[in-house]
Amino acid sequence: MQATATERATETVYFEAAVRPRSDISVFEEPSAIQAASLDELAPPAGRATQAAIEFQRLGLTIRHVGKYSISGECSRSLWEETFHTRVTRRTQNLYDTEAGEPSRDRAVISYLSHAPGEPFTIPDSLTPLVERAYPQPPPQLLGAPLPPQPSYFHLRVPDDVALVLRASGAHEHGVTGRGVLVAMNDTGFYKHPFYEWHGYNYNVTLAPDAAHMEQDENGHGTAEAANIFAAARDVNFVGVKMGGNATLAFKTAADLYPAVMTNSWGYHLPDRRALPNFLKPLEIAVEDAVRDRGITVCFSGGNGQVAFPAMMPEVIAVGGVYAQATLQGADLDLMASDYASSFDSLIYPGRHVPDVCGLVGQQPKGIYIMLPVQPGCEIDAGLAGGTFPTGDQTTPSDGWAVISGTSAASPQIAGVCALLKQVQPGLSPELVKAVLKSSARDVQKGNSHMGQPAGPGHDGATGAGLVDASAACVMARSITPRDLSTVPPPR
Amino acid sequence: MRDAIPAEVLAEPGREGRAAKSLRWLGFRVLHVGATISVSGSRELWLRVFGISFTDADEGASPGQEAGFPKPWPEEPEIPSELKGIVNGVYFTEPPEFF
Repeated sequence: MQATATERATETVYFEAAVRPRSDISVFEEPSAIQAASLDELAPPAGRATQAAIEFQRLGLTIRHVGKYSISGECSRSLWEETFHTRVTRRTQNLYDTEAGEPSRDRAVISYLSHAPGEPFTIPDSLTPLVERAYPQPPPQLLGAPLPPQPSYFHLRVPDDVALVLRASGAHEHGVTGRGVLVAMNDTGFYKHPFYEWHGYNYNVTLAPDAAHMEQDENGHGTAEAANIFAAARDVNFVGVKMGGNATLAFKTAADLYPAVMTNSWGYHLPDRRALPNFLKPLEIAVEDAVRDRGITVCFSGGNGQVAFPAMMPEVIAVGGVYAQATLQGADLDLMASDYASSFDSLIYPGRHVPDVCGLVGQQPKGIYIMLPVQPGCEIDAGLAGGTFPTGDQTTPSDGWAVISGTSAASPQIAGVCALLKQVQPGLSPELVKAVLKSSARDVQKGNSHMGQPAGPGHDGATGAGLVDASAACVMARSITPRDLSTVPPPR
Repeated sequence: MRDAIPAEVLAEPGREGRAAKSLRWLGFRVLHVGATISVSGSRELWLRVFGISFTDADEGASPGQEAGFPKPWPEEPEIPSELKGIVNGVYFTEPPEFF
């Protein structure tokens, strides 16, 4: 039975069998195999591994891989015990590493079959000349590293590259870092990746009332995208709300914290719809309530080819995508509309165009662009691994890093910039925040969106106002005096 | 928890508290009371109170879960007499797409 690391069949023994070397030297005589002899000396004679694999198969065991030095396979518990005249016992361990190795009830636990201590183990006569030893394999603990791998193709890293291209680094140097501003995000979960701890970020997690397993992010999406916020605003107070089955409930849970800014990298695809489906009206009300009644600046991803709701609501900041290349074009980087990101006119809200403004998004086919931390071995980590750019990210399936983007990355980037503005000018209304972002954005004049709308001089269909400029937005926000509308003098 | 089916309930304006109390009394778990009321209940409860049955759709119920989400029929139920005048509508949530 094939399974992922988290789906190990409970009554199956997964084993590695060491093929007997050509010489009399045993790989098991020293603390590590390669201390016993050179790899050449430990190499079995040609054909022995295959002979061993055939014999394992004759005995009924399933062979998955035949290597030079060892054979990987599996079999039922009863067949293992019968073949090797032994006994295995069930053990459990945390799937992910815990601080100081301590067990945690919030972490995934996996059980596996292991050799029972003190029990005999006899290799059958037919295998003895071919195989030196065979061991049931425990599952690995999945570790995340604070530093990412370095694939060879062009990509951006968080926080530095993304901060630089968004022009947030300059704001940070002037002390505008989002300090004291609460930013909330609803997503798949928020794994405590070492990236967040090593950077000293204020990264907190809570559950929507219908969600479970607070410290896990089985998908990886939330853990990854949250890093974009800190790239733009390194000192924000962040809270991630892990979503359960009801996205509206997660949204309301986040809004109840009265954050200054909310970011949402999700939505519903409503092509050709002229009216909102009734099942989305509670979400529409919740978004309206957050912006209008609570004064929360709400960002939504505009979609990666989707006609996205709630991004199409006029009250929110709809975030699209711009692809920045490493080369200069005049005084700015070479910028073009991302063909991975959506742009559209809403039929449900007449006059409403998506996007308002853009963050950084890669190009088709998969938007592989920004190296982001994920829970090791999660769906995204495994799903993008293995292939070659631009269809795979060239990281490994359980290294805790993935190169992704999409407007899922862009919305939290913009949310981070919103947090900078709220630090500079806490009284800015959501409308003013949006106006400042649009007024200070960098014009993007080439490329097409996913829908084929072109970018061009000034505001355009593909990128709206263009790519955000965090420093210019902060300067503009500083000079604004928020007023209640009733205090504005009547027009002359 | 997986058998509990979530929904958003729209109460008559100003009667959210009363509606939440009635829903609790009927056996629903009230998860959040705001502009709408978030509730969850078993298939049996939805059938008994609102006459709704469910089939499993293909999309994941939430990220990381491969099980389908329950699709209601009828999509918008009749409001039972116990809730008439305090509840305006019941809307079943579908899983979003993550971009």
